[in-house]
Amino acid sequence: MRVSLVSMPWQALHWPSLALSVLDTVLTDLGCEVTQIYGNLQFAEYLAGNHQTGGELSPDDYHIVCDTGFAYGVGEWVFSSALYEPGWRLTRFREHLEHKGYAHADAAERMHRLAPRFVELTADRVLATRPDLVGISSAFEQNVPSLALAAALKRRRPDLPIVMGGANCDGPMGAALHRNFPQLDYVVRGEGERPVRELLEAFAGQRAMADVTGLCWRDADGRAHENPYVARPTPGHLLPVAKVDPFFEAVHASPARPWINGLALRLETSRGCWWGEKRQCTFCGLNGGGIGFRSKPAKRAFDEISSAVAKFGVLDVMLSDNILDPSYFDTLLPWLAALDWDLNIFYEVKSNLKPEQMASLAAAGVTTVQPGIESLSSRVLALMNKGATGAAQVRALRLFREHGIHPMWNYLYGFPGERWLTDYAHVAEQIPALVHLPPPNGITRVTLDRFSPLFDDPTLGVDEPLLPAAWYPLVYDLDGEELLELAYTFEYPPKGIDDNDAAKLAIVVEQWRERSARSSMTCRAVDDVVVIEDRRIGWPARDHVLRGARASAYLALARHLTMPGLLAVLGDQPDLREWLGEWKADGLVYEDAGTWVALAVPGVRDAAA
Amino acid sequence: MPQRRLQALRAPFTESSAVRAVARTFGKFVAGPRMHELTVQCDVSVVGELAWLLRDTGVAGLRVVVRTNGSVPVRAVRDLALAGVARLQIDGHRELAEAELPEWFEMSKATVAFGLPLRWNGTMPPPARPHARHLPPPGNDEMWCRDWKFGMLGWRRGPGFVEVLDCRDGLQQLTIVSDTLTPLFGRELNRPSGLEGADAALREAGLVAVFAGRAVWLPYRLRAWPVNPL
Repeated sequence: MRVSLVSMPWQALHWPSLALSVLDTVLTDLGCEVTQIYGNLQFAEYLAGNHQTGGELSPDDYHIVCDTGFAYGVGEWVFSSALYEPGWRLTRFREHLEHKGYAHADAAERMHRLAPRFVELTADRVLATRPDLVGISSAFEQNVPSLALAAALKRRRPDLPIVMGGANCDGPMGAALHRNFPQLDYVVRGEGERPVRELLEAFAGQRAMADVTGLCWRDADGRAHENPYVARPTPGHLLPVAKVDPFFEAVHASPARPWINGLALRLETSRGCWWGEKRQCTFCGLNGGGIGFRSKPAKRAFDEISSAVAKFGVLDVMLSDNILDPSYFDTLLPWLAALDWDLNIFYEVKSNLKPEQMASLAAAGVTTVQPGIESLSSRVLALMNKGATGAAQVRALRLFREHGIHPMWNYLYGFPGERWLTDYAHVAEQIPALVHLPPPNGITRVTLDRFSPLFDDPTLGVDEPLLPAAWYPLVYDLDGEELLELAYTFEYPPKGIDDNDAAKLAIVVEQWRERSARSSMTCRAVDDVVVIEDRRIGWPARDHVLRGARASAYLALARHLTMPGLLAVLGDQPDLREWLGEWKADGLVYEDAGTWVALAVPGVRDAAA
Repeated sequence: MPQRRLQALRAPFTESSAVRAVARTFGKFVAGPRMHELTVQCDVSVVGELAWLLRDTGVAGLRVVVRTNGSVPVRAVRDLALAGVARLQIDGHRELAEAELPEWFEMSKATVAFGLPLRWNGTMPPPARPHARHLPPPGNDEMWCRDWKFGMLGWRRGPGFVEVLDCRDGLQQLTIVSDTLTPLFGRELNRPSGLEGADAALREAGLVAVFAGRAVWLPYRLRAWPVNPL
């Protein structure tokens, strides 16, 4: 059987689609002849062609939609011209973008005009591979482009079976897509390895369609059926090796290549979230029905990463894992470090790492992490079930700075039950003391996503009737009930702090971002003295010298400690409270919910030098 | 006070007297001017030994500045950096002659690669200047200081290849089979070669320069991220 796997815009251009890479391996093992088609790359090429013929678009506009469009549905709307008709709800969508302050609406409209022709060309390319089956992967903003392609394929070859899967098809979303878009013969919900195998068995008459795990399908009369949705996650040792060759062949030959800097490998070493299994963060819906944590055996993970780096000559590795397997600190990471390659690895991690684990990450080439800092207030972190305190998150930022690891994070706000005075005022007041530590990218009101506890459990504080995010009705020609089933992101009356308070937080965070590159505060222990060299922007340049018991107390605060914890380390110390007050006034420590942590970064060189 | 727990907190730190003793052995030893700062002034001929001993003792929390009078060998730069030395300083106003450029370039590359700040004043022969703008600038050259950023021209090691990131004039990313480079410049690409290393294509790409009949691989090894010099 010839199978064509397609990834439409707006999959990133810098790395392979993990979905296509993994399913290629599964299908090839089942005896299929597989072709991967990077429709996203082809759209960038289409824009490059527009650029070369004097048009106003280029692949840079593709990157802009990828980077900034998701929250506003821009990528989806661009292809609504191909799914429905050019100019689809144009005025209302432009008003929506204007209301949101989106700066690239003109480019989006130009791309909207080009999309129908592009979809037709892509359908030609897919059919040129003479497929017996087409599989389309959809995540984030890939729904409408994928639906438009499926419709174009059906217009040409009504008998061609089309399957869609991916994160956008998980749970009720997949059933809604299947119900409302007859161009989709099958929709696979949940992880694809098992249902794809079962679907091929059904094609071969070895199994009934009704027995394919989680499948949505149609019978001979065209009636839609929805098999029971049962999450059957693929075990870690059976996670397939990603076949990424077709992407690199395509991108190296692509006319859009000059617009694509820094190619990266996109691989996975695990799925699910071991933290979420215990206590899921209330805002997180990323794992859908597959939150159970499973990782590849370390030797396999090592072999896959190292052989892919060697084969494709790419040192940047984006790992899709939702959280790093802690066992890798003793296996995968030291093995990667021993290679002495200058890797640049991205991993999502839990923030409560020990210093030696930070060192292990750095040595292995893990240069960028997403540690889930989210907030610096213990109470808000408790509201989101993060399992961390504000002081612990600040300690993590300090350790990341010390070990040269870049943490990507956003300051999240808007949790039901939070208040400015108890949860933000003291953080905002202390942020000027943090300017030498890695700042957040910005502040973000928490979104309400399907599969998250905030979505599923009204007792957590979002108990009003839900509405799909504002862009869904502007993009889809569906009624409200169906949109509720299809949507991933939802609107709800703002919770927690109001926009005025959020603006106050935004100001100090922006100041943090402006000052961080030129700020440093280092400390060094010399015999019984601690010297803190403060060169933070906004603070007088000065050296603080702490001696004797004061030096010991400051060193003890390398860990985040409560007053009783600190006294347990230091013994009876009557002046301790006074010292902490002085240090807080000088911005040498951070305090939240009665827990203290030192802010100076150990080292003898200026971090900002 | 539970002394054992406090000692555990201090475990990474050696006694500063050991560092002072090492400094005293090798040259003029000046305390300050900053708090718990130690400046060791020594002849370049003994910097290697000083660095080796400091790597053993660490700096015990002292801010140690090493001042010397010539190009420091790459191995010594590495040892000083690993010891935790705060800065390497080359004394005087250096009018660099072409013959000493290969060693100067290698020292400069090593200081960036290992994150050891290098302070110096002086000038470079005009033909060499275009090849050096990614290296630590002399303090007296305002324009060079203003334009310098970490990561302007670096290389990364991969299995059987070297990746060059050249941001001197927009981003260029090149992959070069390392078999063609390591026989000439050594595994760390930090050893000047003879003229056989002066491959025309590499010179054309601004990755190799020739000084006094010796070829130098210009990029330094990138060991720190993120790199965003544009």
